Amino acid sequence: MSISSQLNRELGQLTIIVAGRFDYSLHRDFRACYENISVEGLQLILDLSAADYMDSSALGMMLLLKEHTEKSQAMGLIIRKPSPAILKILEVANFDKLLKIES
Amino acid sequence: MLEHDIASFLNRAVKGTALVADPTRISRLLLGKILGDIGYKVIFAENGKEAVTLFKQQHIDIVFMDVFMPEVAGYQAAAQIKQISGRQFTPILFVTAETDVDSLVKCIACGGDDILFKPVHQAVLKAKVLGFERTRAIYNEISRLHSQRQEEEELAERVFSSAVSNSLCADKELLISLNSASTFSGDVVFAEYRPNGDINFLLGDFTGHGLRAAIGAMPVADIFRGMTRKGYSADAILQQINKRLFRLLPTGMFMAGILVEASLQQQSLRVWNGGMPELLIFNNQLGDIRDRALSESLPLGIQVDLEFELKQLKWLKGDHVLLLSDGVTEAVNQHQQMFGQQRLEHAIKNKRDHASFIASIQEQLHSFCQNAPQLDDISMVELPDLLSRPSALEENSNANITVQKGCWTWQLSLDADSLKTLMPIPLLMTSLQELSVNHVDRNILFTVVSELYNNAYEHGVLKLDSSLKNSAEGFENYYHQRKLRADQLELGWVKISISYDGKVNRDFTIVVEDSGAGFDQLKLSQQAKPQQYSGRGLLLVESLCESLDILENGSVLKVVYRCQY
Repeated sequence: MSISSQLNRELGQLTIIVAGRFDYSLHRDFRACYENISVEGLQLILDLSAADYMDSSALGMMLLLKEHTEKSQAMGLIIRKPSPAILKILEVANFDKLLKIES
Repeated sequence: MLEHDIASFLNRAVKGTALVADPTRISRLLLGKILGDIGYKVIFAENGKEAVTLFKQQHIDIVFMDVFMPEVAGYQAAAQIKQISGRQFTPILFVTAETDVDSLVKCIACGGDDILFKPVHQAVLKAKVLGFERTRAIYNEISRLHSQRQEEEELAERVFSSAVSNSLCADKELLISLNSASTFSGDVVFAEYRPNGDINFLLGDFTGHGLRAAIGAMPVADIFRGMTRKGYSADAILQQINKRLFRLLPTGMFMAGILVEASLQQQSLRVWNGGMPELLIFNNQLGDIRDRALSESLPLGIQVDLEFELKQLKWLKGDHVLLLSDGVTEAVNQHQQMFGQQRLEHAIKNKRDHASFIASIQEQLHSFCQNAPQLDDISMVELPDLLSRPSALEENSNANITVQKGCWTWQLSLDADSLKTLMPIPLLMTSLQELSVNHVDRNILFTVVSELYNNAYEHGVLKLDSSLKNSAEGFENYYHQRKLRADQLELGWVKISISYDGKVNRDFTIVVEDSGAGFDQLKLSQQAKPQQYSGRGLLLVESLCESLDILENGSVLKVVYRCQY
C-alpha cells in the first residue's frame, strides 16, 4: 500500500498514484496529496494502474476528490487505468456513470 | 533544571509498597533502609519463588529484583510477576553488580523496566522511582480512558441495536446473519410488513465499518419502517432515504443497498440494487440459480436526485432469495486469496443437508478462511421458500376487536398535478389506523383500494393497456410507459370515496371514479376467462369483497367490503 503524487505545472496535471491496496488506511495521505496545493486549472489524474484492490472507503475517497475538483475549479478528474478488479467494483457501484474513467 | 528544583524533585515523598527480592541479607537491609527513608513500606523476599508468592498475596507498587537468586531466578520471577499484574503497571527494577551486556539485555527482555547497579546510590534510586511514578500515572490514565471508551461504545451499541434491531417480520420470515468486523456493523438489515402483508426488506452496507458507519443506520431504520408500515411504495422509500442520507452524511460516505418488495399475493419480487453484489435466486426444482439482479444504480446518499427503477421479477414456488454483502466474496484467507464468486456459487449449489443456504455459505467461508482476521462486515439475508409454506396468507390475527358503531365518509379528489406527486393510499391507511379498523381488515382494504386506485389511474387516466403485462418484457415496458405518461400528464382526475356504516353489518363502501372513458366490456368479455375485467387486479378485488359493480362503462367502480373482525 502506498500513495504518491506528481505535480507537473507545464502539462497542467496533478497525478495521484495509488499502489497496492486502496483502502481506509490511505485516507490521510490521500487527502494530503491534493488539499494543500492550488489545483485551479489543473487536470487531476488518479492513476490506479498499480492498485490491485479497493474497498468502499476508497469509493468514498474518490467522491471527496471529485468534490474537491469541482470546488477548487480544477479542470477535471480522470480515473486512469483501473485494474479489472477495481473496474468491476467501480461498475458495481455505478461510479462509471459518475466519474470519467480512462482505461 | 535549577539546583533547588532538583532538590525539590528529590524531596518529593513516595508512597506505596516496595518488594525487595535479594538472597543476601546485607543487600536487603541496605536497599530496605533507602526505600524506607524515601517513604516506602518495604517487604522482603529471599528468592524468586517467594517474591512471586508475595506478589500474589498483596498489593505491591514496585519491585526490586536481584538477578541471581536460588529456587526461581530473577528473570523468571520478573516474567511471572508481569504476567500476574496483567494490565496493571507494576515497574520491576533489576539490581545487579553485573556489567555483562547480554545479561543486562536479558533483564529488560524478560519484562524488567530498568536496571540499577550495585552499589545503589540513594539519589539515583529515588530519581528512578519518581520517574516510574510518572510513567504509572500515564499508564493509569490511559487504562481509565480505555475502559471509559469501551463503556461508552457498549452503551452506544445498546442504543444502536435497539433502534436498528430486527422486527417481528424479520424473525418470522427471513434468515439473517450479520457478522461484524468491529463492535458496530456497517451492514444493516431491516424488514417490515406492508399493510397488505407483503414484506419489504433492505440490506444496506455503509462505507467503512465501526461507529462511523453505524451512524447513518438510525435514520434509515426510521424511514424504512415508518414508510413501509404506511404502505408507501419502494421507490418513495428509497427516495426519502437517499435525501436524508445525502443531507446527513459527509461526502465520501454513503450506503450501498438492496431493497426487495416481496409480494405473496402477486407472487412477485421488486428489486432495487445500488452498489451491492448481485441478488441471487436459487430454485429448488431447477437445482440451480434461476435469476439474478445486478447493481443498476448508484448507492444512496451520493446524489440529491436519483431515479429509482425497480426490477420486476417473478417469485416462483421453490425460490430462495439471497442477499449478500461484499464481505462474503471478498473474505481473505491467510494466503491473501479471496473467497470469490465461484466458491460462493459452489456453496449455494451444494447446500445439501445444511439447514439453510446461509449455513452452507458460512461453513465454506469458515473452512476457507480458517483463522485469518475478518477485514469487513459479512452479512447475509435469505428469503426462504415462503410460497410453498402452508397458509402463507393466513395468520396475523391477534384479535383486537374494537367494534365501530358510527358512520363516516372519507373522500379525496386528485387532479392531474396531484396525481403526479401525491400517494393517496398511505394517507388512507393512516386514517384507517386512527379510526381503529382492525389490522386484518385494514390489510384487505389496503389491497382493495390500491387495486381500484391503480386501475383508475393507470387505465383510466393514463390510458395504459394492461395486456402489455402479459409477458416479462411487457411488464418492464408497462412500468416504463407508466412513468413516461405520468410525466406528460396534463389533464385528468381520480376521486376516492370510502364510507363506513357500523350500524348493521359494518360495511365499507368504496367508490373510485376516474376521468377516463372506461373500458370496452364487450371486448374484455371475449378474452380468456382468467383475464376477465381489465386484469388480475379486479378479479382479486372481487374475490375479497361482497360485491363489485362496474358503472359508467368502467370509469366508476363500486365495491362493498364487509368487516370480518
